[in-house]
Amino acid sequence: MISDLYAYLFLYYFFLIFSTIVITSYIILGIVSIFETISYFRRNSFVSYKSILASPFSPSISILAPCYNEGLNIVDNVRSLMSLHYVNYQVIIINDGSKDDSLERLIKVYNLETVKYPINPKIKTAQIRGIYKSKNPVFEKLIVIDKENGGKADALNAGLNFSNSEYVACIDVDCMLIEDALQKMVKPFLERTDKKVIATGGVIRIANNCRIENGKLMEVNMPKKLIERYQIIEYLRSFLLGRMAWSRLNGLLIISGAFGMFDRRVMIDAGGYDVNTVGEDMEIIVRMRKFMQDNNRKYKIAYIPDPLCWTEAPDNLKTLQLQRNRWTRGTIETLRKHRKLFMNPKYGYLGMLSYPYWLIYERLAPIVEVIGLLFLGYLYYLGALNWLYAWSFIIVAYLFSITFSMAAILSEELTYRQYTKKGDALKLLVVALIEPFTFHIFTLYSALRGNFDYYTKKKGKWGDMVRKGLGS
Amino acid sequence: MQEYYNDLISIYLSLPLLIQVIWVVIFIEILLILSSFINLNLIRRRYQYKIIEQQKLTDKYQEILINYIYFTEDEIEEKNKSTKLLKIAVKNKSDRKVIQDLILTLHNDLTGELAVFLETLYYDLGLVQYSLKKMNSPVWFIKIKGIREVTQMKVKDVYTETLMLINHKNQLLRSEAQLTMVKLYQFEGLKFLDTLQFPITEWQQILLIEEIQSIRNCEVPDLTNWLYSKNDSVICFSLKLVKLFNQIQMKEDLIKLVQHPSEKVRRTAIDILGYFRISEAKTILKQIFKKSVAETQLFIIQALSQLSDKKDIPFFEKQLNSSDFDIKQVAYDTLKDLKPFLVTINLNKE
Repeated sequence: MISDLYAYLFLYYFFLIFSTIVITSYIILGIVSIFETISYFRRNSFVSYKSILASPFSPSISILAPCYNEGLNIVDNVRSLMSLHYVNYQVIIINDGSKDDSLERLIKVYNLETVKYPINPKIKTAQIRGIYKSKNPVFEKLIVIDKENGGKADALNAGLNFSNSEYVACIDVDCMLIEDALQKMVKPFLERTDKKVIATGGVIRIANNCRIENGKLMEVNMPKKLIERYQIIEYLRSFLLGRMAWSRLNGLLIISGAFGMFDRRVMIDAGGYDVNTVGEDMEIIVRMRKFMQDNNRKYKIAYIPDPLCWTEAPDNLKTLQLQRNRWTRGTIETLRKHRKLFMNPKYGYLGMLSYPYWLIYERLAPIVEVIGLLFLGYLYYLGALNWLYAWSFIIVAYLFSITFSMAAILSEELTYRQYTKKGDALKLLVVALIEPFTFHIFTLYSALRGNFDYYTKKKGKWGDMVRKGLGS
Repeated sequence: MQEYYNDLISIYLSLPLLIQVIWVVIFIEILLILSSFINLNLIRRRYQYKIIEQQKLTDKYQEILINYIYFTEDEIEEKNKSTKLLKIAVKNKSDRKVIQDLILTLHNDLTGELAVFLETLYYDLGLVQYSLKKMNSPVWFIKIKGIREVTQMKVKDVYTETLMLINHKNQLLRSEAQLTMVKLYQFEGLKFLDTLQFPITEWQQILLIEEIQSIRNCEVPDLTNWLYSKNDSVICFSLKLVKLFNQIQMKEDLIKLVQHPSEKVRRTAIDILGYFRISEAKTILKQIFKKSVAETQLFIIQALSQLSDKKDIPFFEKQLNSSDFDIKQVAYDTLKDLKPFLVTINLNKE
């Protein structure tokens, strides 16, 4: 009986302390982010990007876009990538053994022919079947690498081997980049003199229901489905309130795989993408940071809050669940692979702050939350539940979630104002009100499924998401 | 009501301390949510109102300004009338802002006589004084706005004020001051390089070079002193100017700089030696090749590739065994040019 009481007290205080720390850290991150976003917005309102457009001193950039069964949209997506406003760049499409007619379509539309070209074999990849360039000088920026299927990371590595630019921009081919995306992403690399900028991440925005014509974003609209609107709030919170703060603290552990720019040499020296994880976007950042720290080099991972990359978000529960499952497994794999970093003072912020934060709040938080709910149910079953305490905790958590969402919406309103139509603010508010007991429960379930699948060794492949296509 | 309130307070005070704290937090959260929602709506309404009001003013003054710049000499009376009207309007803050923005936008799109008209009007309306006032503001972004305005309107008597900002602790401010020096005083403005204490970022160098490229009918200044600056970024920037203006006569200085302690300076100098095809540099480049890091080696081999002749074949053949692929590739490409029928290796084999 006494041991039951101790167990009860232990769990009670554990959840109390855990929740207090989570809420406090979110508040701190939120405040830092809001100030950082507004400061960035103000600083960059004076920047002219005109000069870099045509300068012979602009650094070279390769866009690496892996493609797997993207036949439906590949031609338009490539056209969009080739019309970006930058002087010194090439587009490298890596056809990762598509089973559809992606390659044939590219060959036909862009008048491609095979060329012989040496490829840096430093990172091992699946076999390259051929390299294609256009006969038409209008498409001279375009290079297509055709290879055996090896997964997204393997495809990116093939592109990395091929590129000889100073920087590589790794993107999902179905993402739509704003015309000046490259200018904005390359800027952080060129404006630091005290530290080497090794990577820049950008905000990912949801393009569902937006009007897109010829690969260009013409009009931003609020998505129609609730499931898509949930993700808007979620992305705003994550990108504007979370990552901005981590960028300020130079503690970013992830750059979205949908769009990120990297120093090519550092990326290769660090070993390129890991092909054995589904979370290659997080893993590469952790490894590049570790590489720089091991070599005692000062570095920075920058982050751009501008809405530069627009992507199609899952619009049904099945696809969304698969995506979240993959994210969870990716996080577990990366944290597990680099567990030596945990509380290791040798790695400074990375080991003492970023890694523990991700472990506790990203990796363990869903598990702790579910245990907490089960504990609550158990107490109810025993008839030992103190309703006053239970309701107080539930209300405080619920309101905190809404406060945090409101802060994200307000931050967006004060800076980039993408959702300007009448009624948009109200729609976002409604979503913020119902999200904690609807969408959040779903993401919790997906995270648990991810854990289950990871430990039972179930694997999902990339390309699982069925795309409808932007602008279609 | 008072009784009800007292009951609430006594219920609250009878709660355990932790629950009391939680309910304070709940109360704060409710306040935050409500104030966020009210603010959100206010911001949106204010923004829409501002847009509509600004559009009205823009439409009103745009017509006056466009007429003003296209008035002929016979319409002097109408012109004076417009000036008078604008002079009254600029006394009002919101009207002034719109007029100022309109003049600056129109000026951006015009050149020659019409642009000079607008510059004169900017003076006549006393808007220069407002820009100078902004320039003296303690707030950095207002200061930048002021600098931009005086620069665009070619207000040349701000040399000392601008020079004082060259070493300001705010990076954006000093960048803007540097650009203003070049925009207003052309090559003469580059004198800020003599006293610059902070590094010039790569980004800033690109912006400065773009401005410098637009300078017409001016003699390129002597860049020698800056090539020996204590500020490494000044050396790199000057080296880019050497390249931009084809200052090939400075080859001896360039050769000296390949032994500079700064890696960045060395790489920039090496790149230019290759670009100018200065064959005298070949010996020293080969000498420093071995003791350089891989990234610098790549710069050296690229430069040597531009300077190569048949005597260099053994050097490039040796580099085919380099562990760095990029170096190997340059060596391979160079050898292909030097002896096209003899290169048979497979570069993709490690």
